[in-house]
Amino acid sequence: MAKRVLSILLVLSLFVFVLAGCSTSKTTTDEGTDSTTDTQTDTPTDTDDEETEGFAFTGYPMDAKDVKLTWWVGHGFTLHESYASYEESPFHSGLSEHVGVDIEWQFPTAGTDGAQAFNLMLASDTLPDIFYWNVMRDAERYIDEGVIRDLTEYMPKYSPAYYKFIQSNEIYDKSMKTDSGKYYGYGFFREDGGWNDTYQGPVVRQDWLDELGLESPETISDWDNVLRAFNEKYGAVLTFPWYRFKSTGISGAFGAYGAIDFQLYIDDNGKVQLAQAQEEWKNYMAKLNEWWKTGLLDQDVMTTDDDIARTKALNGVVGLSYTSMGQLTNWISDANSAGTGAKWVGLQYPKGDDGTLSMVFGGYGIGEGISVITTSCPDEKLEIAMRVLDYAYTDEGHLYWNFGTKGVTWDYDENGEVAYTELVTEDPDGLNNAIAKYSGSVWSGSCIQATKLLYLKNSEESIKANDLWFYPNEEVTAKWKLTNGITLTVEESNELDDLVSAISTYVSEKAVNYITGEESFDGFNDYVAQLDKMGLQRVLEIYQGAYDRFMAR
Amino acid sequence: MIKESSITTKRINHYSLTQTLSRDFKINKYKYLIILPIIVYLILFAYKPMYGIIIAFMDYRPHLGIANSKWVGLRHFKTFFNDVYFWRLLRNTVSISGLNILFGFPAPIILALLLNEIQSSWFKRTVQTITYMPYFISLVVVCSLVKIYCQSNGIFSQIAVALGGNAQNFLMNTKYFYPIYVISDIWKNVGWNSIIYLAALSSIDQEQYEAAKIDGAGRFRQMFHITLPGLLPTIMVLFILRMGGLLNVGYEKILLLYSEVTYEVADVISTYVYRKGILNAAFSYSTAVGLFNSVVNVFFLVLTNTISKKTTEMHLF
Repeated sequence: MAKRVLSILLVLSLFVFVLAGCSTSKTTTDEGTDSTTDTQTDTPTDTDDEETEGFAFTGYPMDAKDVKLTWWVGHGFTLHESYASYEESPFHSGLSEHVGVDIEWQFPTAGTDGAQAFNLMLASDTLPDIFYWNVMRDAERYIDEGVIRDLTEYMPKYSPAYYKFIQSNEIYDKSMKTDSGKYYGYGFFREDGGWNDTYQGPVVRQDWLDELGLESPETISDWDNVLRAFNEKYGAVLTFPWYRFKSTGISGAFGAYGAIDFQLYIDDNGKVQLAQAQEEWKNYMAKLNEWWKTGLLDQDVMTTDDDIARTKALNGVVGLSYTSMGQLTNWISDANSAGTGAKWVGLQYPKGDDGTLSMVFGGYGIGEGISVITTSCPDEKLEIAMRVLDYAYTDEGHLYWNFGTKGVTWDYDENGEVAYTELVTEDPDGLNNAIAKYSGSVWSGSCIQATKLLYLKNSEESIKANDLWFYPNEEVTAKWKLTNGITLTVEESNELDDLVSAISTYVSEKAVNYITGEESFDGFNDYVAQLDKMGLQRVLEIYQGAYDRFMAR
Repeated sequence: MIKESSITTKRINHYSLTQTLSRDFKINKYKYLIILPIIVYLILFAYKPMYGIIIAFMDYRPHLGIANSKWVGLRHFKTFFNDVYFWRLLRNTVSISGLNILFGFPAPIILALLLNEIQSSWFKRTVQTITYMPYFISLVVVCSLVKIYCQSNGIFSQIAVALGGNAQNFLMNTKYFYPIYVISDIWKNVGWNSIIYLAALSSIDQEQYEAAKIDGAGRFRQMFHITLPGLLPTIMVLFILRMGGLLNVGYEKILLLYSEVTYEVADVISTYVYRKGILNAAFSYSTAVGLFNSVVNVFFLVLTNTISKKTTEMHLF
């Protein structure tokens, strides 16, 4: 009998486990919606009507503590890993305080794929009031499908600061609307345009240059000399983290616009072109091939990542390279702690011998993320939601989004510059983590990222390098780019899906074969013909159409 | 007595299916109760999600859901089959997977057999621990190790030079990609995978060995006539399951090891779909590819099972 009871108990407990499994799986897949349902039902017309009827904007914080907004954030200003919930996070709870609205934040569970989380969120029954994700290319479609709200008529009235800001630059304004001229969201901008979009470039060992009595190399011929001298004297080669170099590298010196990765650009006549189908690109590959053959280009370069490049830099087997601001900081600190005497500095992008510099890695300083208001946000809450989003673009909000609360995390120093308090500088998790805890703009967010923040965050030497990569070349950092802001129709993006992956595989494969000499340049015309056969012209045509519509906004 | 029982069977046959079931249920109600959670689990987590396969025939948009997304028929399948690289991807996927089975499948069996022959239990345990240690190293770390060892100044290159060869980066040579992939896979998984064989070994009756010894069988005879036949059911079941995953080559490891130089041999279905996915969240397309993979996998599963049934009489179903 006892045995029987025991077995029944066992079976029942199994049941409980299975049922528990069901219910947890349900809550995780529906995460982010349950709470929205609450707010939806919590704020039905009666309480809320009174609210907004009497609501008149008089400045921040607004007197709307009992209005609750849900805000889903897919990347950029998500929860810092040291906090378990948004209530603990100083940036997120602080923003509620500053705008005077109760914001309920939702983030993808740590470690999950953002895109997947975004689609789960969209597939659920109720949307949050606001979400932040990369929807620029699809915006028109989302408006048509009834996911996000068209904010065109309210923008000047409810978001004056933001409206004024985007009107200040034509490219901002164009990027923030759809082809049919609808405003729908609040994007991410970098102060001073593309300074931080040009976050990588050439670097050189100044101590070696000095030892050999060489000038900083300026042209490709200078690079030749320096590479040869470094190789003879120190056995050093040219190497870099491959994935960083792959997009464009030093193509500007050859009048080209791309390196290994499929790269579209806008030529001087406003036509969309493929970088890898141009004669200039062939010359670029020919030079790399020459360096490869003579052993000046590292034979391991194509399998080199940040870590391997860092080790090589530390071991003194590289004197000229191409890397990012952050990596440069690492290289310098490695050299200092190991006492190698290496002195890494940023180097201006090389030019062709005739002074050519067609482009430099960079952008317009506009991110891909954008905060949009969904159709779940009722009319009564619309003004408040738009005011909350507008806050980031006001003078006061700009400081909050970047540095946190004045008097708590930062204050003005004697020169009137922003300086962090000890709360940030003495944080046990280190400065970079501390900054991320109090700021919503470190990676991206619906705000304007202050250049000052980047100055506070990066090492002096890497800032100097970035100044060198960006300021002298400001003209050519962005104008060649096909912006994030273009919109594609459903048919167009389907067609591109079918064509682009094959073409880009073909292009990258040929590029490395040209470099290693596996493929002769005699066949270049056949290669271009093959691209056309694979549908390149149609790809260009589609992007041209999208670009023209963008320019016509 | 005999007569009576034959009558009852006859009477049962007169009952309808529902009656039989309800009677059976009454008799075996606790057994049914025990299996119920498993059935619920399978329905919820294995059968219900299968419904989602239909998005392979749609232009699925998450917000519109399955109900409102547009039907596109076989468009995604056509795109996949007509892709310039389709045959290359299929060839690479089958090659990598096939080589991995050819060399990677027997490895843990051999290791288990070798371990089984070791007398000293201390030595045996040490070897076992050392061989399954790599299993717990993250794939990313394993791949960076491989990358570093394969560099032109890495350890393999130095050995090659010492033996009179040339210094080279092995990961940049299409000839070496498969050996690197397969050997590193064996190194990582051999110890872990041998555990199941060691468990099966311990269930072999020790008396058989004693009897064999008395008959004068040496160690190799014992291995071929007792140990291997004792392991065969486990081996066949695992082999059939492994064949059922022929087209499942995970993209993570290849993504970490390949480069444009080795696309020719290393680009597989999953990495190609991955690169395609970066451009656009192509749900329907990747579902279509997944469905194709599953169909091929099921084909091989059934084929292996049938062959195994005919030759060794071991089978899954």
